[in-house]
Amino acid sequence: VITVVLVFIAAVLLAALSGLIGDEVRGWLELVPRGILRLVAMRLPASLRQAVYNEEWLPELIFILRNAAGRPITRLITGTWYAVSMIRSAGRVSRSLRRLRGEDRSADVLVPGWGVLSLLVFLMAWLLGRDAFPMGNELAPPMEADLEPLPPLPPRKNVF
Amino acid sequence: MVQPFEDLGLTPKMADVIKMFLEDPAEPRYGFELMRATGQPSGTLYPILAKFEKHGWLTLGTEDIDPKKEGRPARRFYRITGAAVTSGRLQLAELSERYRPPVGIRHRLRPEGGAL
Repeated sequence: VITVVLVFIAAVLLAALSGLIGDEVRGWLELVPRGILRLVAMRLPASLRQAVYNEEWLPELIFILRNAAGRPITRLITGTWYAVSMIRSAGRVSRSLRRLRGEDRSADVLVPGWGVLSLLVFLMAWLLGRDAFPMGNELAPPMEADLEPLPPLPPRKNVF
Repeated sequence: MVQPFEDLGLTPKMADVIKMFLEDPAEPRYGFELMRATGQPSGTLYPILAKFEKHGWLTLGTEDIDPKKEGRPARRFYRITGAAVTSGRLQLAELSERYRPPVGIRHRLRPEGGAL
């Protein structure tokens, strides 16, 4: 009886945890396209950021992410495609909009597309490579360890 | 604010966008929806939309939703103006006429591709 109760409790806990883990993963997946779009927004001059990023691109991206609810992979791919497609076009969009509005184009410094791409690659490499390339003391072991004499080798046996 | 209407010469890419609006002039259109329907990247589409807006062809609106209830911010939409419907239809007809293959060639082409 105790075993059955324990198995039941374990099953309930597992079900509850799997839901929580699923929610956690879904939350993280949403952060990827949003993070990319936020980086892309850095390419827009401050005068356009509110109108273009806050009022147009971000609500559109959030709609895409909500619209494909229940299909996390589709959500991730569509949202990321939307955000990445903006990397190349942000400069062009801002140039065109400022020309149409008759704004001075030298007022703000634009972050070039390759700058955003480099930052993205760096962030991805950092996130993925944290375990592969340990930093700190592990990278530079203490000098004393190098200076200690090696332990003597065991006597060699003659096998012939 | 609605900008006063000014006539524009439509390029083929602009015609692609305006054609979407003319399919149902009362229907609001959203940026991502237009990107998918016309196959134009955002770098082409958003400047075109801005140009149409500046010349009074499109009006901007915000989706009528309760952001708290929906769990997302309201999207921005575009709607075609009455004057743009008339001008857009005329210009699409002109473009269609301009790019129609010559009669001699038309009779030698098959709808499924290739020549007769």
